[in-house]
Amino acid sequence: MRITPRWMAVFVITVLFGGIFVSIAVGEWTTKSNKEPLKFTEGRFAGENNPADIRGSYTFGDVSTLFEVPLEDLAIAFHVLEPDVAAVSLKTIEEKFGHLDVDLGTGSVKLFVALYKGYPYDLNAEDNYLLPDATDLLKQKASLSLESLAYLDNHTVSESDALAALEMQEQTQPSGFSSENTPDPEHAFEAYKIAGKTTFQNLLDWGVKQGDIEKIIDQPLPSANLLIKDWATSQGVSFSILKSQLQALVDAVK
Amino acid sequence: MESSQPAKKPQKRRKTNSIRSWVQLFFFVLIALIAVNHTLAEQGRGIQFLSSASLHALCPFGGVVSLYQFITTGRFVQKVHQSSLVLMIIGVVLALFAGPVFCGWVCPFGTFQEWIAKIGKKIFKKRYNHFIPTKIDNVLRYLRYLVLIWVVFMTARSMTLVFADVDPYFALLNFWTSEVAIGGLIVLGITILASLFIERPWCKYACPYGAFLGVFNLFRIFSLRRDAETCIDCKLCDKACPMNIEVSKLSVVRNHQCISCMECTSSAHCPVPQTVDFVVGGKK
Repeated sequence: MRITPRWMAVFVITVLFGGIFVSIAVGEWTTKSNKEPLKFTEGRFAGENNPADIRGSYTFGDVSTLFEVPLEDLAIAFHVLEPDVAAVSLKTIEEKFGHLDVDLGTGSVKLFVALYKGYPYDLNAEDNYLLPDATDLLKQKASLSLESLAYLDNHTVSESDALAALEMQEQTQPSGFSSENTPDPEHAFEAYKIAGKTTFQNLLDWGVKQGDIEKIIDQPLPSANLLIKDWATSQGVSFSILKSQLQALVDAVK
Repeated sequence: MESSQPAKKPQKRRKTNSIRSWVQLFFFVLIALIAVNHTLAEQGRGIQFLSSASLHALCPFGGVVSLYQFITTGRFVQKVHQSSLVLMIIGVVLALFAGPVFCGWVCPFGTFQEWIAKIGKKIFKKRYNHFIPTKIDNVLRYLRYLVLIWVVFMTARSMTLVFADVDPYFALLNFWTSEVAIGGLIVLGITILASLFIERPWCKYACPYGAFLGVFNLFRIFSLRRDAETCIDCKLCDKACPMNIEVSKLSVVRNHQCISCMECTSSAHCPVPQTVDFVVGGKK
């Protein structure tokens, strides 16, 4: 029996789409990750989720839930400025920091979570980098081995690169997100967000009390027109951590 | 002509296998739309009625490279999903019957190379696709099996999709995303350039999935046969073959490079009816 091109076309399309439809019918057609990372199989963490299996398709919310890392800490560590941190995909990290000359992406989240939770992690497997705020957080909250500390010393992005990345990120935020924009009532909630161009005066304008600001910065209020970010840099304070503390004040008066 | 029997009257030469071109166009557009929709869906603007799967999820080769991890751990390599395994099985079923029909009729990257080839044919005319000396070409044709072994081994060892870093197909249909590796873009550029001189260079020399499917040509159920009794030895079948197979010297095409495109058959370029045909069970 001869097979003509017409019959071959019918054969190819029928087998291909027929196979897909059958697999859908029996529930075997999945095109997305089930978001169940591999678990440690041995050692004292046996049965717990292994951060080495974190995937780019996960959101920060997934990571927070699966590995019990507070969302606020993830937001600080990876400079997540979006209002809904939980919904932000890990893939966006590479987009935000892709211009840096180092690997800062999903691998960095694996590294951060592993060190944060004290899980075993092969530091030599990949050259992943962290932002200074992530390293600061780990030093504050995690018990790090000497090897991990040495690794972080060599795998932390410089403060200037991190700030440049932050500025670039803020410039690409959707309108209504920056403190410079005048909010319409519908988007007011999104607009009162502290960003790189927010001044202390902005905080006062938004209704935050001077005394509350001074408690957080632990000194009298500097020039009201000073950028908060510049003040943080001059004082050697992490802008991201300061920002989150001040943002809590802003959120409280909204 | 190899026979003393009277030959069948040559029919007017058909230019090409147009049905295949339409099928190829259909799959190219479908996959390109899905790739765009994947990006839109990530931004919350996806089109509802269209799949927003990633290209990795729709690539049957993902199933091949994930086999080791799937068998040993029950899971897939990162970025690969169960759909890849389903497509791999479908590809194997198609290949068991008709050889690498996926390459010749479905693969968007093969289609893309054929479109570039149209430009090359206009520039170089008869010289097109005949730049590499046969002896060297014959050796280079096995290079893709080394690529296949390397990819499968490295994927099994690293548990990551190592091929994504050099995959020109992913680079072509995702060039607007940050997921594309520079290696993929470089290989894509080389492939585009080479396609101006050689037809389907990626398929011939480097495609690991083509290498995998090519093995099925050795025992496919539908066989590509040439009837020596009616053949007029015009060699149009040889000229039509994008993979440079000398069909005119064979009675049955078992070459691992055949992509089952049917361009050599009497339904396309062969001018004599029922002389070069895909047949079932060795009979026409």
